[in-house]
Amino acid sequence: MTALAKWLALASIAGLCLGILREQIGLALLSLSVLLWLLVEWLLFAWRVRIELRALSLERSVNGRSEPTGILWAGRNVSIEVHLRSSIIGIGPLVQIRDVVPENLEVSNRAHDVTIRSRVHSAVFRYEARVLGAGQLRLPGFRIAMRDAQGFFRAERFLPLVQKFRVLPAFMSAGDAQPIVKRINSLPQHGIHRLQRSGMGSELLELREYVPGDPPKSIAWKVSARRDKLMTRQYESEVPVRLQLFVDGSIGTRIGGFGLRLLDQMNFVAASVAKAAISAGDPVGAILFDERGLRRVPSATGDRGFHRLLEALSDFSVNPAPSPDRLTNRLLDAAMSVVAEQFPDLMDARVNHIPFFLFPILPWAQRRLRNRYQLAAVIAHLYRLSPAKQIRLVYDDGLMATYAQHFLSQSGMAWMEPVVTIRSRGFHDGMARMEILSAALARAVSQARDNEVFVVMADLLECVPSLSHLMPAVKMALARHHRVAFVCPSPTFLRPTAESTNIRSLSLPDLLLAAEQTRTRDLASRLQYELRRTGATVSISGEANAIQLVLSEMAIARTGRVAAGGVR
Amino acid sequence: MSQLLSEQKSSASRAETFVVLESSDQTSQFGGLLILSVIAAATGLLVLLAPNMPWSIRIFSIAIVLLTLRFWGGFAVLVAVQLDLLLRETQRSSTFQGPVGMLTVFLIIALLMFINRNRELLKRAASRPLSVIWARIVAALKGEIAFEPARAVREIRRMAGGLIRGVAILTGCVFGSRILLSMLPGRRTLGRDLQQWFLDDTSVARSSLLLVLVAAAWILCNEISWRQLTRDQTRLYLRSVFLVIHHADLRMVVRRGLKLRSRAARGRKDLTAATGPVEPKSIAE
Repeated sequence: MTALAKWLALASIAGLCLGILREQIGLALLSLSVLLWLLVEWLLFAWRVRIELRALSLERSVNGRSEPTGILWAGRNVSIEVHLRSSIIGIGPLVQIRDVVPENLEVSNRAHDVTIRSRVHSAVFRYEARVLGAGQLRLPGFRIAMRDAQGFFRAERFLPLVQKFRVLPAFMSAGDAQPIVKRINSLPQHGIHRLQRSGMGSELLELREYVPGDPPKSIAWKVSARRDKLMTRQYESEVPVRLQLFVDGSIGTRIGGFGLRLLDQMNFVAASVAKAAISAGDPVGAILFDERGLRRVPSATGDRGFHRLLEALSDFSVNPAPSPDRLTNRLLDAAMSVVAEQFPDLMDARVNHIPFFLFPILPWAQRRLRNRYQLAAVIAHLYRLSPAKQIRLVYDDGLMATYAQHFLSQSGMAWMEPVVTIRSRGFHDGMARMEILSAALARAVSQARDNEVFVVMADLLECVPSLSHLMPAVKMALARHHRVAFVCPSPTFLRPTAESTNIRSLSLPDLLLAAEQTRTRDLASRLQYELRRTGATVSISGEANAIQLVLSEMAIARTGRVAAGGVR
Repeated sequence: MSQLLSEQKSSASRAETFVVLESSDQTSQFGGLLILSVIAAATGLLVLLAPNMPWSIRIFSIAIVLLTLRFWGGFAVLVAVQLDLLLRETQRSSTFQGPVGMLTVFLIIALLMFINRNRELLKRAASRPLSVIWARIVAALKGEIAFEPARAVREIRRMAGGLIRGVAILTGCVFGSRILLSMLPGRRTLGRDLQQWFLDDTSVARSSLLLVLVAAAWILCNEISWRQLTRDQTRLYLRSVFLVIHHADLRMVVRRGLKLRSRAARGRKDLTAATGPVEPKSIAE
């Protein structure tokens, strides 16, 4: 019953009593008629809720498939179609149906929210949405709000229809990595590249004097005859260029809206580079690291290998449990709103009883405590907590904050306020991350063969003081003739060039962007200076430039040249 | 056989017609017209009220009622009419006894219904800035707003359906209330009726029967509502009932435990240890 109906009922009861007592027929008749009207509307509405809503069934198909699981791609549009079927009597009017979508899905024009305006037996609605970031996407179900034409009564239900999707990272095709023009006598096999070191390839590297032990097959007889001494042919080595990706998934890279996280930039670069390398037949592996430790994805080639890598990146992009924070009113309000949206049945006062308490006496404080009791009950029910722990949720702020954070994160909310507290940039970065990365790099070098390209994708901008921890591993990799490239995502999604720091206009967003870009440029120049000294290459952006940088490093590795590292 | 069945199923699904639903933000084709009608009708009724009051006060009251239409719907109008009747209607007046009175009441409630039905339109219009409303009016006058005849026909059909349904309900309500009003005891007959009821020998038996019937109806209603709860709702209901019963004890234990722990943590000067490691698992599907 809405507030309007309550007030109308109150006025009618008062009018009826006064009319009877004062023997004013008109007043009594009007008031009683309004009361009867309310009663009839209530009966009709209750019938609709009991009969129509129970018979309602919904079926959602995403890109034409209605399976409970599937795969989607970040950055691409999906078309969603929802079929609605009811019983013979039909459903409607004034039933609002909203497909509850997580923050990772951007729907244009609120097309996922429709209203049945006349009685229907079967209906359909379609909408387009864009998947924002890699990870997981969970469509929980439909929120259904039924009301009567007068606005006297309103019933809200949640119809669960869970569909879970693994969202693979977006990638771009960076062109054909194989040269079209034949520049050498014999083309090696797919994925095998010449390396200007002696080996057992088919391309001649050099001639040298025979030393005992050389295979007779390799003796160049004609040259030996001309020079009057035995000469041996040395062939180039033919090895695959192995690409090893290091992806940083620490807290700092996960903060922000889906599609705008630093991790999303790194995923894009990693997937694009992997695609280019695998197209050329080169094996690609990855080491994914964050505060939880390392995860190694073995090197693989072919489409299957590429998909395995994408799946690993997708799983890695799912935000883990957020670190415990303090309880704020915003966090509680956000949790309450999500609970009210996704579990309205559980917020019903008839099933979610609140114990009687006298204190606090102030009405707003009491309302807050009542809300917290209700929220605690729903969370305890969802996480299967004991009644004692449910009471603890009410009185222990730390515990409530932890569970509220988990609940919001698992409901598909991005790591932003109020799910996690946004601290100043660089707060989350520290020695620990550098040490993990350093250990991963050292391990990769120890397990590497010839001709490896290490691509480190990490948020290093704030870590210049702790770079000394990483340097030994980088130097070791370079000393072993591997290529090392660093890709640092830019918080502004722009390369920190001199032009990018120009103020475009005096509007607040442009001024903030210019300030952020100036700071990024300053940090980038320091980082580049430190890494250039070792001979590594650096790119400060998560865009096409970074992909080109890595591809050029791979091209150098393919030819076997040893070129000086530079700044792109 | 199975192929035949699947063919039949597919042909049946092809035959099923799906209505394409409109977005909730879709506005009515007759939105402006309906808003103007609501305002005009409400103003017309309010002007008829309290004819003896000075015009300045009447205009002020009408303005207040009109401005609150989008929040309170027909409530303010009903209260205004009730106040007018309370102050002006004479005792046992014959005006409302006959069909004219019933028709008057019917029209007043019909107006309330009309206002309430279009409250969403009023809300939506009022939430827009004046410049936007003005621009829409100008565009409508210039004929720049596209008029979709198919949608308009659908809306007219809906409105006609709503009108018939509303008239039927209101007629029933007004007749029903007239009958009920004639059955209700008046101020003059109340004492005599009560005396008669107490002196009647069968009163106790009838009251007992009524009580039993009420109890049976109450049990039946409870049973029906319990059976209509979902699995999750029943679990939460049992949990919350248990918690209500043991709330005092549990709260005492938990609060004491928290107090002890915070004291111990303060002793160690390590407040972060107070919460302890918590590893919530994922939500059970």
